[in-house]
Amino acid sequence: MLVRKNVWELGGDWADPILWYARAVGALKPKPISDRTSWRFWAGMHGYNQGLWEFYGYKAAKEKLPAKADFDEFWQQCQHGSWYFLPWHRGYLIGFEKLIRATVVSLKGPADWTLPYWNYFKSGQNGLPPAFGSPDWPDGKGNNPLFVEQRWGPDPKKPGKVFVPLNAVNLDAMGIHEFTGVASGGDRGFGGVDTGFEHGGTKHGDIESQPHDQVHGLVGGEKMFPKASPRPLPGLMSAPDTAGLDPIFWLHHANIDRLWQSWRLSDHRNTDPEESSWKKGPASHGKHQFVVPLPDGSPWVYTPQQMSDFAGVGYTYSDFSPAGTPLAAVASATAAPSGAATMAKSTGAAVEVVGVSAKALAVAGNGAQTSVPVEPQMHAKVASKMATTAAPGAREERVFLNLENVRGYSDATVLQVYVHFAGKDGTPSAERQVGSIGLFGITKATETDAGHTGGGLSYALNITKPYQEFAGSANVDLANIGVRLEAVAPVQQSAEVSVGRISIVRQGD
Amino acid sequence: MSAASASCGKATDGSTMTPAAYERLQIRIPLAIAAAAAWAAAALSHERKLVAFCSSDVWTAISLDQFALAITFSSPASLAGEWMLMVAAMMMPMLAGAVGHVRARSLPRRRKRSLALFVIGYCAIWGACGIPIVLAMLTLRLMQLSPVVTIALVGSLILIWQFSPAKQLCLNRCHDQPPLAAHGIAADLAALGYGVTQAIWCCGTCWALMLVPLMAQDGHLFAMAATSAYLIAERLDPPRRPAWEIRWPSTIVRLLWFRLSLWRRSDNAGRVRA
Ligand SMILES: [Cu+2]
Repeated sequence: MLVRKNVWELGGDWADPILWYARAVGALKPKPISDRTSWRFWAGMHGYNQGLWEFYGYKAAKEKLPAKADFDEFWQQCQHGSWYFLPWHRGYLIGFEKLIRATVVSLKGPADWTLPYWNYFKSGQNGLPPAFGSPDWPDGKGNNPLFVEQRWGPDPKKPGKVFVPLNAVNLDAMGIHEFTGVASGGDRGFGGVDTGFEHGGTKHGDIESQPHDQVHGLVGGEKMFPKASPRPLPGLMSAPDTAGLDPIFWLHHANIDRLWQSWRLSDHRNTDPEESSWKKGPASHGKHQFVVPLPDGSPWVYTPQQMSDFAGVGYTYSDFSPAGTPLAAVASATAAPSGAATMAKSTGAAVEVVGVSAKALAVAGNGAQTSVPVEPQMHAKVASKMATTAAPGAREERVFLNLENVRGYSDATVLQVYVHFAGKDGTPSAERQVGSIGLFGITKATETDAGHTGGGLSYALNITKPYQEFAGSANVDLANIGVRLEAVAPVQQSAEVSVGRISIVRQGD
Repeated sequence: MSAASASCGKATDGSTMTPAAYERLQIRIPLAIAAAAAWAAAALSHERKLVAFCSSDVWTAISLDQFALAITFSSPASLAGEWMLMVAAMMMPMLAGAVGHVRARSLPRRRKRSLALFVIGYCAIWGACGIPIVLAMLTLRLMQLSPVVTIALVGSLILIWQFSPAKQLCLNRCHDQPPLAAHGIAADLAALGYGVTQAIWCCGTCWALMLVPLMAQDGHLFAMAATSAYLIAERLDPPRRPAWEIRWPSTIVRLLWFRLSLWRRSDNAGRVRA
């Protein structure tokens, strides 16, 4: 069995698997873009942006793209803001790992090479693995193919110092038991919303919203190039159209892929969708099928159903604990037969708006803040539901903060989100962090008429806990529930980042 | 994938529904009922030959006298009624996204009010659009052109619009889901305004093809249904960059092809087991 291992625990910065990865990447990078087994062809399968690719030197102005048939079949397939996010990326990784392994073998390397994963949550491992951060090979010679110049990290004052700030990411998604959720403002589910026919791709699922999006932006960062653009330009990892060009992309996604299986192992309720529209993929909606080339160039078509069968995918991970500490709940995975104990589907659960601030909130510099007025009747409803224990089979009351129609041109931006409940008499109360949002994909979602509607992205953050703390208090000023966004790195004015609407929404029976 | 596991998967298919699909259904069922009612009413009125601009003979152009006669039988008010009925029947099935957006973004106590305002704004624009469209049709008839010329004229107008960047721009905007205010007069204006803008993009998307049922005489209802199906199919395609290009609804073709191949496979599997 092929085992994907922790990149920080391979036994040295330049342990064999990393060295062979570097050699293979070095062999694939010079191949023509149009070659199905080239480095850049694989990046283009995730996304492509002519301006950025040419500006960063990943494509010469005169260089030919893949022929139209190949372009249409393979390129720009990445699934975001959809319940296909996890299965599409799993197949993409499998195809990529096969290509690297075949290349390693052709360079006389080991036939059991596997893609390492980067578990930034494990203690002491949130830094970029050193082999990726050095422009040199271990012998001190330059030209290390794992090194990427356009990987600036979370702090613009220290470009190139790459790490994942742990206060900006969390594993809250692992506690969600439904794979798919609602599009109307409640929980989107671990894997994302059933995008059906109205495929918008603007509502990222829980594991995609956190930590996937943040890690992209925090690692890639952004930089000003005043001569090229008034707006900041994203690091390769920060935008979907360039992310696949960075060798660290694959280690990040291996971790997300690992978390999918961790989630399934951690609780018997955590199961993949049974709907045939998920299992058979977007082809069942008349949309593009999932397809990647094999090392010999022939196309391999795969479905979410195949990706969901973990025993059949041909690899496993050395460790399934999300943060590197043992899984507590593994035992319960076998306690109940799967299927028999499926949860009551949340189909009957109502999603209702509790309060709205509809003034667009511009986000620049260190952040922005506003307040959301809450409807007294709706608040009373939430408070009373929270005060009583839910009847058996009923859904517990949950409250979400929705950041809707978030638009702008800074994919690297990560915003810490805080809520705070003030007293009527002006007594301030403690502010609570309720998570963070990463604007990965925001530029594409903002542009109109380029295959998107231009309405921006929207986010739903669970604020049940802080809301519950104050729900019963008669002193809370319902007209002023504070929401504060704090940028991890300063947001450029020219990036025009704004939140179109902020709402508080309840979900329950 | 073996036949056994495929059939095993099939047993569970359809028995479950995702929360998002359930939400969509909650919008689609009332819309479907309303659309069905509009279709029934359109069929009935067609039966009674009340729709002057629908049922009068476009192929043998009418004279001014006949036009006057037609007008006496159907007042501008009933003409307008018939037009709106046609709009309701054909547009309602495509409003699920926008109606769902209004519902989800409104405070519960304001939902009905916001939905009503959305519909009022939407209908106002379609009503206004009906005036030039219907007048153009009547003018065309008064000109007493030969059927071939009429078809060529209207046909090329439709084709030019269908392949224009303006048409694609309108189609892209039909998917808009802007932020909506939720309190007070601002909420009312937001719902009304969203109805108005949706109708503008919708008119821009559909007006040319709406000429097809308006022109058809014998097969008026059939032409309405076929046009309606085409308009729905068009909207399944994802937004794309507006340009002059020959376009046809490709998603629906792939969807039908996929369903057909599934059906053929399951048919074969059934035979093997039997
Ligand atoms: Cu990603």
